[in-house]
Amino acid sequence: MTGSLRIRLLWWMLVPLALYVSFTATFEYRAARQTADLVQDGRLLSSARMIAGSVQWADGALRADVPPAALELFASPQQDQVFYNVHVEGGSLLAGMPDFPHAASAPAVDSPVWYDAALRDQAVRAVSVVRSMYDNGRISRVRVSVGKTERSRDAMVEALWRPQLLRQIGMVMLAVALACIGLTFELRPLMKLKNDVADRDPSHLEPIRAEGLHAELRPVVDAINQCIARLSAQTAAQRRFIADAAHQLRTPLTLLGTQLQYARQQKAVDPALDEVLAAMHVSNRSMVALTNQLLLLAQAEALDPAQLPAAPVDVSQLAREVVEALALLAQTRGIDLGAELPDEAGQAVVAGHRELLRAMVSNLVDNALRYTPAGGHVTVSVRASGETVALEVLDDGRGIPAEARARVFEPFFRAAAETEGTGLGLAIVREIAQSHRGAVSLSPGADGRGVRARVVLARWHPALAAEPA
Amino acid sequence: MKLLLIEDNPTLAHWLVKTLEEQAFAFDAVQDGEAADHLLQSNHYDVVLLDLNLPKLSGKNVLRRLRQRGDPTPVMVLTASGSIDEKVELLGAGADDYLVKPFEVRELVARIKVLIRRQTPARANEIGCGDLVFDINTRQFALKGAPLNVTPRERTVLETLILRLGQTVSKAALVDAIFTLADDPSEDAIEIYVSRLRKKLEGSSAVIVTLRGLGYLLRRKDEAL
Repeated sequence: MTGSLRIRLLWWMLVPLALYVSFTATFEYRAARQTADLVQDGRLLSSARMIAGSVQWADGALRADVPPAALELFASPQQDQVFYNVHVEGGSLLAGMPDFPHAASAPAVDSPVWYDAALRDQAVRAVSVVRSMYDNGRISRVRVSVGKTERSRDAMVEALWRPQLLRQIGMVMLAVALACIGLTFELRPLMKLKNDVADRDPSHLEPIRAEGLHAELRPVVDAINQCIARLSAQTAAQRRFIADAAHQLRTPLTLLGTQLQYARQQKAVDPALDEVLAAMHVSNRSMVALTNQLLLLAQAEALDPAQLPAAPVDVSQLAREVVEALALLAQTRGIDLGAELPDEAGQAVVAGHRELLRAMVSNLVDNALRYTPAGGHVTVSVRASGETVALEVLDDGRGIPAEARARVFEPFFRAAAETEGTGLGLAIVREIAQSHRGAVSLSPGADGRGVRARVVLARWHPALAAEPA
Repeated sequence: MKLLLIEDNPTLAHWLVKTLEEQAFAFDAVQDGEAADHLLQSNHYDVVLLDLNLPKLSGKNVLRRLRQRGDPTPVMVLTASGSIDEKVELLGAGADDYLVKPFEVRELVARIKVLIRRQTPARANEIGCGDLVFDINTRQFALKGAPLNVTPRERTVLETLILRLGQTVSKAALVDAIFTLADDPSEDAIEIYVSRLRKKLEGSSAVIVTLRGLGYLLRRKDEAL
């Protein structure tokens, strides 16, 4: 979870917000409690004063008639219990509970004492007031204490404090929700950037475009782009090396071929030597084929789809040429080579590099001829429909084992060891198809036998070409 | 027949000359562009074999100067680059043919022969396919120098094929070529003529290949296969 930027940002927002809320909640609670205490204490004092006011001399003795109003003051839905005690200091109890707890310090006249006490296992808030009663030169101090349980005060605190708390929690939740939406929205360019980098085709490294990105992301994109630039320079250097290496092999291979040709022209006395020379000539030819295929692959890899020549190429014409060129090979191998092409020329036209497309078709047909035993059939078909042109090469040979199907496009992978070939054919086909924004697929033939190789390319539209580039 | 080989790799030049001299070609060989340019100004050659990558004066400039002088000597370019653009550029600059290294010497010989024949007006009316030769004027076929005996319809089939050498001719086109309106056209008959012709061409380096769905084509057998 720590990996998610969104969650980390949320945490960084939530923790201060929670701290803020708990601080304010504490202060709010204290303020609410103070208010409630003030109200409660005021009521207690009024009640005590009312009771004290009702104390009077009667027949030389002090009497306390507790007025009902003094107790009704405390009427509330919480139904607090109210206790009182009226007694003459140092003397008799005039009214109320005898075991009413007393304040630690004795109150003076006109200065009440508030205190917290416990009565019958209940917390009680109480006030004591003292009234001096004069009679016949005698001063009697009457102490009136009123206490009540704290349920109504607690209810008041709750009533004052809870809505505040709920409001604040609500605000925090709203803030989190908005932040989530905002983060999702604002992190979208980052996600897009992530997809951009993740979807990058290793063979065509283009810089990431920085427009539409946040200023904070620009340096990241710049760094990635620098990395991409170094990588593509490296890849280009490697490709160039392969192309150069293959290129450098051309002259020595020509020389070797010429020397072998010369040697074979000499009337050899020894037939064994003749055989060796013929075999060497064949090896030389395989090396030539491999070199040419390597160069072709390097050329196809170097082709940037963005800079594809926009020349129209008639695929059915290409297929015809390829079939004509490979007719003799097919006949030599005893394979029935055929074609199913559109009746009219100009039907199956694509845009691209004619020679590379020709090499692609040629490699597909050549491959089919190599992997089909004598007596088999290889059919090249071209169909144009709507927006696409599909080229298919169908054979009825042994087919490709399922486990090899995924790997046949890898350079130098060969499905059958005994078949001669460079192992580059299908890699070249795929490179060329991809550089023309096409797709290659292999599937079993019609009745599960052989291979159906299919290349789908975008159909050429003359209207598109007419537009200024 | 005198040829000029302009090739900067001395070993390759040596062996090419050695091999081609066996084919009864006489050779001058030079290794740089300037020397080639001098030789071409003073001597006549039947064919020039020109490597592109030359010291002192590039192969392209040798070719350009030759054509600027109005010299029509056929030039065959030997190059190590397979680039199509270069091919187009060189053919535009006046090269007659173009061979990419590594090449087979036999291919080189065959192409030199074509260039030489093109210059010989007496034989310009001949089309060859391996050892099968067709004389357009007399409409006669010769196989290995001896006249080939064919019936008129077989001749029409073979003629149609050799006139479109290396390209497919559909059965329908062959039917059109053979049958007049009065005849009863039959595609089966074409198969019979082709199979008879195949028998007559047995042992020849020319071969008629069937391409299902496309038709027939005449080709020279390539021993490399």
